[in-house]
Amino acid sequence: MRISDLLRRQEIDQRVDEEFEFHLRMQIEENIRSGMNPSDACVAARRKLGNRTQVTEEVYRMNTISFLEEVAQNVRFSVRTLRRNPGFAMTAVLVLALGLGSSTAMFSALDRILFRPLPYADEDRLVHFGMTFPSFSGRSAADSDLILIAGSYQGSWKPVPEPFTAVTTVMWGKGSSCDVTEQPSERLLCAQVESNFLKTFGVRPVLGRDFTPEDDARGAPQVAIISHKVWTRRFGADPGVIGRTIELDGASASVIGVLPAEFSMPTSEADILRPQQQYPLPPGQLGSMLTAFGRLKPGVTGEQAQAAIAPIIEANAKGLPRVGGNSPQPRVVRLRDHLIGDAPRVAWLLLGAVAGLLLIACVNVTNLIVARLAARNREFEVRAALGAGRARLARLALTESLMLAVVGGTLGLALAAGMLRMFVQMAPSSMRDIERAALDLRVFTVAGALALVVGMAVGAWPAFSVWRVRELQHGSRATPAARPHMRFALVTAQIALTVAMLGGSALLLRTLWNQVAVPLGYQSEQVFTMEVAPNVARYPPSSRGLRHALFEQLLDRIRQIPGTVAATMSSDEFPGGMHSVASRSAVDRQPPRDLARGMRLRGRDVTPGYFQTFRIPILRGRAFAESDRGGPPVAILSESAARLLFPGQDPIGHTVERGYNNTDLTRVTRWAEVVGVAGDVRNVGPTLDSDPEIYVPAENWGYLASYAVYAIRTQASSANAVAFMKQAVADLDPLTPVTVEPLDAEVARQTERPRFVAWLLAAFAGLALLLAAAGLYGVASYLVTQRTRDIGVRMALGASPADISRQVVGEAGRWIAAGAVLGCALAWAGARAIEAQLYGVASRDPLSWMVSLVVLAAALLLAVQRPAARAARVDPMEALRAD
Amino acid sequence: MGKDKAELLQGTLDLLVLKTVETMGPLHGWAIAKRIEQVAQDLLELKYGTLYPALMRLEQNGWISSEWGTSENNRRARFYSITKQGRKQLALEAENWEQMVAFITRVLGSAR
Repeated sequence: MRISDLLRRQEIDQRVDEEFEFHLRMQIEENIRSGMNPSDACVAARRKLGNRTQVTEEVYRMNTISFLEEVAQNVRFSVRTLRRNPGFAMTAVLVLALGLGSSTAMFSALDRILFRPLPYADEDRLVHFGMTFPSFSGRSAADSDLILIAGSYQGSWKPVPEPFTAVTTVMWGKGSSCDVTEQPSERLLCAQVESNFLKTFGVRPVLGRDFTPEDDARGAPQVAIISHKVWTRRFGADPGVIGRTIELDGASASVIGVLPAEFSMPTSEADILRPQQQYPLPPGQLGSMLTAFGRLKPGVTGEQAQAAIAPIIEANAKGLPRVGGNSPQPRVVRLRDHLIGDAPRVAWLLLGAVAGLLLIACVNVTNLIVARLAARNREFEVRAALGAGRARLARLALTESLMLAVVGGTLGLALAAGMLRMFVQMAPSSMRDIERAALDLRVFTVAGALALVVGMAVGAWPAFSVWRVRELQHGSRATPAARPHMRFALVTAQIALTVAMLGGSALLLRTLWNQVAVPLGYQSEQVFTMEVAPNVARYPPSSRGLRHALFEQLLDRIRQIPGTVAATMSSDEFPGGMHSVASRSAVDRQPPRDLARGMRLRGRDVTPGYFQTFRIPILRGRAFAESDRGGPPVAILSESAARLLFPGQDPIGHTVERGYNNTDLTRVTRWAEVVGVAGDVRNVGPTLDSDPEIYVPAENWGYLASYAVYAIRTQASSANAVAFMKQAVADLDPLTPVTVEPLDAEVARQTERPRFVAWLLAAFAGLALLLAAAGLYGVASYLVTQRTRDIGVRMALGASPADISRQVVGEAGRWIAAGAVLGCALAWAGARAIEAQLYGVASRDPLSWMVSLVVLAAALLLAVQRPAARAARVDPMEALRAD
Repeated sequence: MGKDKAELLQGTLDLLVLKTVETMGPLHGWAIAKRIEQVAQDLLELKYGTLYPALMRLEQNGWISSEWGTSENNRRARFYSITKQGRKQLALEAENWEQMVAFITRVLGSAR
């Protein structure tokens, strides 16, 4: 307030000096005029005027301290009054802590999706580009990577095409693993990048150096840049790690750099970066599939970039053999859109819900304060009469609410820490970097600002009503703070917000229910799956029989695990997997035909126990028998594959083209006779149509595969099954890491996003309902207390207790109805926000809304039962005698 | 009341100063002090140590304004005059004062 005066001491000094000097002279002159001699006059004047320094000090104090002192005074006073009323203080603090805590936790969790820039320099200029292959991408988010074929790329385009300033690539593949083949051995995620990869993203190693083009040359010495995590875990954060070697997949590579702790790959996570070293490609070779990124010149839009680069991609793709029936499409997407996808939609929904909760909490606390203010009206009147300024009183009222908010906010931070941990655990794995969310300085700042805003908002109305306390109003009950229609508006607003939140969560819970209830085509309970990828150093792809033997032995072992009902080995994870996908097909020894656009045909090599293990029904014909492995080629079609390949016919006895592994490391196609039709399995996701699938018996499995997926259906307990399966692998090769997972967990993962959103929203809506009920209870109790006299009169005039309580409930009912109508209107308008998250239910689904309204009405009417009962117990004689 | 001179109640000095500059027009500090003492007729002891801080406070609140001028005996002195806001404040404080007097009278009356 007068803070600026702190800086003006010199000016003050000078002015006080001059005024003092003048005053002194005037006094001396007067003294002389009244007959004193000059020296006495001087002394007397000085004595009368007092100590000059004291005056200056007084001015200083007034200028500098008064503001802070008033704050301190207000705080002390607020603490005293709040302590005198611990019930009120605790309720208000708890309610605010709940609101602020959930908002803080939610903000922290969603910050990276909505607000925080990606951890790359000038991230808005980064793009991901390549070709969309209809058979690979487009349907589920998980496989939306754009792909570039190395053959078309040939080790960076030089010069870098307009409008890019840099282009870089990573070898395509989800979490390609590599094994550390020295002690302690472990499996890490390795990414093979071009030498300019980090530079393009504006990232520098915190230790050591970046890759150079020489590192990327074919046959150059092996080098690696390790992640901060690996550096701390494996090397104890030793700065001397640079130049040390690490055995990766049996070859040693020297560590040249350490990545920053906050670095995160634009593709899937990686522990180690290595140069690709694949250029120049030998002529005629296709090379690997790549994920490509580029940095645009400033001001270039994604569309411009796409228009510029499409011809280059297309021209380069011309030389390629057709990958599928559908020609690939060039595309450029902003890196942020690629990584975060449609998550902001959900994020805004959740943020909206938590903001609603915070708003309800604020309204609730305002209501509490206003009710208490009504009781303290007399106190404020006396203070005003004793000379306290209105502004001073308003500041006092504001101090109190700010203190409540600050204490509530502090408590809220503790609450937020717990909530955040819960969010992180519940969060769907598609929420990128959620595990990095923490209560850091940024979150603290936002939480602090939020607490202040809430304190001001909550205090604004009470401060305003104190402002209007003007004169003493003895005996009168009508006080500005107690005007019921304002409180009515507050309660109605609360109820309206609650209705919207309840309805939203009802819709999401129905969505979740619909998704969980989708028949998946298999039975997941008591099934455990395990992916086994043998250590590359011990089982190199070239040593033909070794892996094959390992895979087969493992299958035998797993079959013998006690309690096993059925066991199988297959080429792909279950139920999804993209091991073999085609966009063309051949039947009955005819030339292959392209499938319709967007269609894809999956292939899966399985051992005979497959259908029993997953309990996939065989609709026609037969399942595989042991004799099919190595016997004449046979195949089983999924129902949709049968419809696709043999429309209107019985597929049994027809032939389809399928690939088989040869013992000489080649894969050949053979014509296989269809012997059965199996039920469809939801292999894309619970809400999407199944891809048609062709099953063939797994043959000579290990000669070509780098991994196999095992599954058992067991009667054993979950812990035993997991232990047995791990033991089976350890017995054969202790260095091969395995994770065993119940299939139920995979099934749950498919619905984790609707589950997360639905449960969070339901929790927020539940809290909102609780707060709204508490708010209504408070207002109703207050009104009953206020009207004790009126009630007494009515009872004296013959109203029965039942009439009285009916009146109270009826009045509350009107508020509830008003809130419900308003809430429905609100929800109607905001339905679009939630539509994208729904499945199998319309955003205006009457059942969901009816249920929410019934729940709301029940809870709120329950809340007014006690005030109503109290009103009915009013003793008319006492009520009239009082006052 | 005893034989001692009354102490100024907190906050009332402002009222006195405002009233003085309102009725007398622009005055320097010395004249304000003299005028208050003259009116008080020795019932009240004015401490000069509090007068100047009060003047500065009132000025900061925008209730009075000041400028350098020349006194009747040709000395440089700072003259204070009331502002529009100051007149409002004076009316308000006067009213408050009357309320308080009424209140205290009532309290004393009811206590008897």
